[in-house]
Amino acid sequence: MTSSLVYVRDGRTGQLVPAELHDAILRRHLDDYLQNWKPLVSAHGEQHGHWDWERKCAVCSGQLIYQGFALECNEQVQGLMIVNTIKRCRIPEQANRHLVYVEYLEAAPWNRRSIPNFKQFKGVGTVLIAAAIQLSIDEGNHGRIGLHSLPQADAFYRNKCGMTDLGPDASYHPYPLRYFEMTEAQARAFMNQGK
Amino acid sequence: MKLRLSKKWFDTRIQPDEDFQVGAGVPADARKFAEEPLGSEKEPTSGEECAETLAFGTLIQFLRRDRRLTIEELALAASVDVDEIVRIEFESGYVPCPRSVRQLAKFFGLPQRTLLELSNVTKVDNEQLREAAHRFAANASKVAELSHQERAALNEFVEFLGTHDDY
Repeated sequence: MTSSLVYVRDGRTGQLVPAELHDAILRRHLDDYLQNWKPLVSAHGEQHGHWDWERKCAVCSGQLIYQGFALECNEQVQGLMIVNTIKRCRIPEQANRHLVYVEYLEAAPWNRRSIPNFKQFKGVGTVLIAAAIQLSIDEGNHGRIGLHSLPQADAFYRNKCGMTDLGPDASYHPYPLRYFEMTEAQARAFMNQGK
Repeated sequence: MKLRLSKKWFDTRIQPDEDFQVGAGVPADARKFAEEPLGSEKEPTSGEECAETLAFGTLIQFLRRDRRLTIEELALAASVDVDEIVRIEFESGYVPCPRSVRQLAKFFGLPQRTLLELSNVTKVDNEQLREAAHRFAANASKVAELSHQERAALNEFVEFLGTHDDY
């Protein structure tokens, strides 16, 4: 397991603050999720309020196709992600080539606009998407990633990440979420901006 | 994996005034939008249901191996997602989507309705099927090659499934 120094932006001061990106979801991250994150989400009845990360990690544990990521700041988990490394692309220009598929991505509830008086840290999604792209590069997939976006996050993947919107996916059972895919060129643009 | 990005990168990419929501993956409450249940987000299955889905996963794995197919080859031939087959074979208690079960039933020439019950997509009301599934799950082990014993268990179970399509 390795960790990387990354930064998120404090939503109150506007300053960048250091954070740690782990390429695994550790027991302490799940404990933090259970003690702090899950109760808050349940209380606010969020759209993905009942994702059980502990169960997801148990299911993915020991399976090489999955990899978990945790973003930690101020000794608290700020975001979690599980990716799948054996999915294939759908955009015609890269159809059937391997990509890193983001199975689940979620920011801690205190980093969400939808929960009043929060939005503690900004950039959680940006860091996790950068991690998915970097893993894709490391796996020889040139930064290609794909995901099914929750409806409230469509603008993030389309406008902020520059991913291609392939529209609602009727085959995504049972809820036709929009499928977004990132090409090599889009990944390069995402990673190179600001370097 | 190491992410090596400069502080300047984060300063540029994360704007103070940005206000995006993030999130990916099927919503946990998707079932309320669905006509049919979704496996991976269902409530944990009971011990009996686990035995049935275990029997279903083992059955698919044995049939695949018996035909000397890789998971990718089966996925392609049956038009089922690779990840779905991985989960069916290896994830105890996983309830697949109905379409996958129908595709696999079609590919292996097995009765759809029985497989839908065995995979817990639909409720199992047949005691004989339940007992046969439990017996198969108990006698099967997931090793690289099908042993004579495994092949016998597979043949017996497939024969049973073939005769129980019309209840």
